[in-house]
Amino acid sequence: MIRRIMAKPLRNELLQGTLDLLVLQVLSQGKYHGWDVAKRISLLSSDRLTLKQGSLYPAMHRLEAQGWIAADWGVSEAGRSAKFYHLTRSGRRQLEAERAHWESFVDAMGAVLSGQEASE
Amino acid sequence: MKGDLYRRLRSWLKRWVFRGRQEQELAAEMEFHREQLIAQFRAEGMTQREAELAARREFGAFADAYQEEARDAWRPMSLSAMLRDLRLAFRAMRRSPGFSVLAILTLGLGIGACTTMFSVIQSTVRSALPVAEQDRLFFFWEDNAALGIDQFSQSVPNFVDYREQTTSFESLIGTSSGNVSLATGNQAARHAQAVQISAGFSRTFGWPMLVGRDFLAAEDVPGGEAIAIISERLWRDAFQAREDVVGREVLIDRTPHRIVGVVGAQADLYGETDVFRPLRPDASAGDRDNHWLTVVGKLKPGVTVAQAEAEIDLIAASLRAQYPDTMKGWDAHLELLADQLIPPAWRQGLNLLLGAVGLLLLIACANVANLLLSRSLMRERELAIRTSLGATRGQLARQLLSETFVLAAAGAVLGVVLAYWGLEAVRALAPSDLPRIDEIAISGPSLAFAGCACVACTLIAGLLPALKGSQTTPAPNLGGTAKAAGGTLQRSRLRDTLVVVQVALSLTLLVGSGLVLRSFARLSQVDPGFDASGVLTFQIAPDEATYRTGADMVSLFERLHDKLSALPGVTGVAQTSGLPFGDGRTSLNVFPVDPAAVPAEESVQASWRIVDADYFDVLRIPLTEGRAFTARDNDWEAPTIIISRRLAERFWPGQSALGKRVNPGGGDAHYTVVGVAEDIRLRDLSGASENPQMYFPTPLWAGWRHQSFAVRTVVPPETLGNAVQDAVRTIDPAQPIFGLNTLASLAQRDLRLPRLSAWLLSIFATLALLLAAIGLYAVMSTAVAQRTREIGVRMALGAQRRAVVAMVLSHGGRLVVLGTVAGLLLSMGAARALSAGLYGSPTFDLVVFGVAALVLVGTAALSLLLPARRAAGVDPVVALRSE
Repeated sequence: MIRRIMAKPLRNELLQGTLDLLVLQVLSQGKYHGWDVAKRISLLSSDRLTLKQGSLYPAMHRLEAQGWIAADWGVSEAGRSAKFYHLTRSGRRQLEAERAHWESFVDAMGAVLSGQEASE
Repeated sequence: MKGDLYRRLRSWLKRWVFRGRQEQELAAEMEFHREQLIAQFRAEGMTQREAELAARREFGAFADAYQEEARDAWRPMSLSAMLRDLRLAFRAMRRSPGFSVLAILTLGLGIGACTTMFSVIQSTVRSALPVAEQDRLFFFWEDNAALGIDQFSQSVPNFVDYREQTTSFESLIGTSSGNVSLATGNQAARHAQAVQISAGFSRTFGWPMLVGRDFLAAEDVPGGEAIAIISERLWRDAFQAREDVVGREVLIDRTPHRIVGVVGAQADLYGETDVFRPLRPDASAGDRDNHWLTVVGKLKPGVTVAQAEAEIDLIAASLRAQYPDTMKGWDAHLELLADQLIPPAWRQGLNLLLGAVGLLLLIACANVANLLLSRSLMRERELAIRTSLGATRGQLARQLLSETFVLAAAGAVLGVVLAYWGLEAVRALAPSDLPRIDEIAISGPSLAFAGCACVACTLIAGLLPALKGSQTTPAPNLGGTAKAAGGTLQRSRLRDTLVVVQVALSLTLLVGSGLVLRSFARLSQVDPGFDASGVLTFQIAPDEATYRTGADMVSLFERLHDKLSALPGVTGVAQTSGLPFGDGRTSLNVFPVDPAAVPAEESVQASWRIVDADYFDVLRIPLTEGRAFTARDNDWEAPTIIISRRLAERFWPGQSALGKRVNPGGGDAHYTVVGVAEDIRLRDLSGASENPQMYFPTPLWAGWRHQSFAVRTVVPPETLGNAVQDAVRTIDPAQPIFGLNTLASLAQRDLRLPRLSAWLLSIFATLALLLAAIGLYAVMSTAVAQRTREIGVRMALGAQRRAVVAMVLSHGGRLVVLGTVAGLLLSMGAARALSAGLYGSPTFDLVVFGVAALVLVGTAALSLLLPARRAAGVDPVVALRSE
């Protein structure tokens, strides 16, 4: 059971693009600021995936630079100004592509590990 | 520790990486995140501090990760661009080492000189005095306009009255310093300065009590136990800084005083003071017209000087009404403590020097600007290539400015190193009465000043060349020759102008230092009116407990006189209440008594001294009339006096003063003049603040406790120091003497500031001259190099070498003449500004102006010779082929 994954192990252990996928997935469900993205990922993973902002923010900005997500400044629940991110149209396409890629990957891994040929 | 590191890292990140809007946004985002994190940790039950620490730990990890990722994610544009510019600048600097060394040296000298002077002024004039809340601390002087008395001490009854009646002051502190003999349990008696001071002084001045307490108000009244507060210095020296010093004893004038406290080292406001005693003012016993108390007042917060002075005026008026005899004409005013402790002459002198080095720095900048301009000429090709590769003008200018900055920064580093030496020199040369001379050092503000000078130099020296240098058009320069570029002519005109400016400023500095030098030379040749050579002096102040009466003291002084006279090599011994150029400042208003003289209203402020029979002989002060004192001048029924020639001529013009009578101080005593002495300089070599003098006979004033001795010798006086000490010891081993010094060095004291100024200004002027010569040489060499082809053509067409030389010389000569004319005009302004501080010089000292102009023109001519020779040596064939 992984309680807290440090930034470095996470980055090394997750396959390239996994973090992006997580972020895109969270943002597909609404507008969130960076803190909430991290919170939601750890919530949904039952605390098994805990992001450090050291990987989170560069990833977010990389996604932004790719045009997959966009951001604007808004007011947080606490009444403080914060940067809110949301998925762009091309981001949504990217999410679908990556999700498909990941599912196929998981499927393949599962098949190998279970010793049975994959369904496809 | 780690948190500290992180804070530094974060501020570094903020400053360098978080530049631009994107970075700012990120910073805001991170901050938001951090706050959320802290809130969460708090919710989990951590304290605020723990939560902050935990968040900081997380961010520590972030900082590492960020650095790696950020490099890919964003390029901190300005930082890397700046580093690139600086790298390029370093490379350019290495490519032309000669140029760089010259520029760095030039700027280093300028910045070094400026930093030195700034540090001196910073440490002496600007830095905080060793008192707290100095803008509320004032000297509270009495004055009497009718008698021409300004800044006088207060009388004790007045002090008490003012203190009782005023509401403007938080406290009024009366002080009086005196000479005492001081001994502790394990140390022999020595001379020390003791200050009598009001209770509460440590709080008023902001001096901490290290041990024990300040005097209590109840102790500060007449009578009571002998108590003392000692200085931190005495505490460390004699009591090994022991905490249990309170209650122990110190012998002041051989009387035991119980120590009640130790005051911090800041308490040296009036010079080294070792013991403080309660003032214990006795208004009923004090004379209202005996002014001997220095009073310092601390204004209540919010009370203005004007309000306080208005109140003082009212009190003074009521005192005048109450005591019409003793208070006639007396008033009072305030003077900021900080202003008073730095003499205006010092302030002026130091500011003058700062102005001079500022001028030098400007000359250095003009010089470096010139060097940069010549170099940008030679680099035209390089710059043109950059332009055609797409570099914008802004980029070029930025690069050129960075190059200047690197030079200036190196110059500033060199300058700070030079300033260390400069300060050594100043410390060695400066008069010891320059306030806080030991504290002169390169401080934080000095370094900041050097930094500002560096930036200023970059802008002054670099801006014009950068603007001009970046004005390159790509095409013509790539293919054609430098001559084809439109900027060149303009640029050489700019360089010519800079040379003219340099020459003008250098001449101004030359004239200014010439005037100060002449003034110093005149001042050092002033005849003080006495012969200071071969005289050893010292002071002695017998204490009241041992030497109660005047007779006790006379007997001590007589035995001392005999002992000293018997020393080998001694030809005369004299005794006086105060030596010329000594510390005492005593003056009285004197009135002529005889009705034949000028009206009594025209009294004169005269300095006075008590002297013995041998005084005029030992100091070799000529008597123009009458006689010196004798032992018989001791009759209070018929007191005698010797006055100076100026006073005699003032009161009885054209008559003999002998037998006439004067009334010093306006009291009852009428003194008969038995002799007239030549005026001497007592305080001031320039004579500007010198009063006429009068002398009272020692036998009449036997009660005067503080005496100075002057011992004339045929051997070098400084070799007699030990013998004199021994002589005193054989008479009274517990009686310390102090102020052992030669009369010559006392008299020289007045010369130290002018000597320092003259010495420094000569150095600055020489440097300025050198810089101007270098500037001229550089301009002319470049001009010749640029015109080599033209000269070649002229020669090929039959021009004489002489004509070529004349062409170069006339170009250079024009610059020199223009610069000289401008410089002379500037110098006239400078001379007018200086004239107040100069001794005996006419405002427009033709000799100084002439010599300065000649030196400048001569140096300029020398620096023109080499380029002219090079022009004459141009081989037409080579010159034409080289293109």
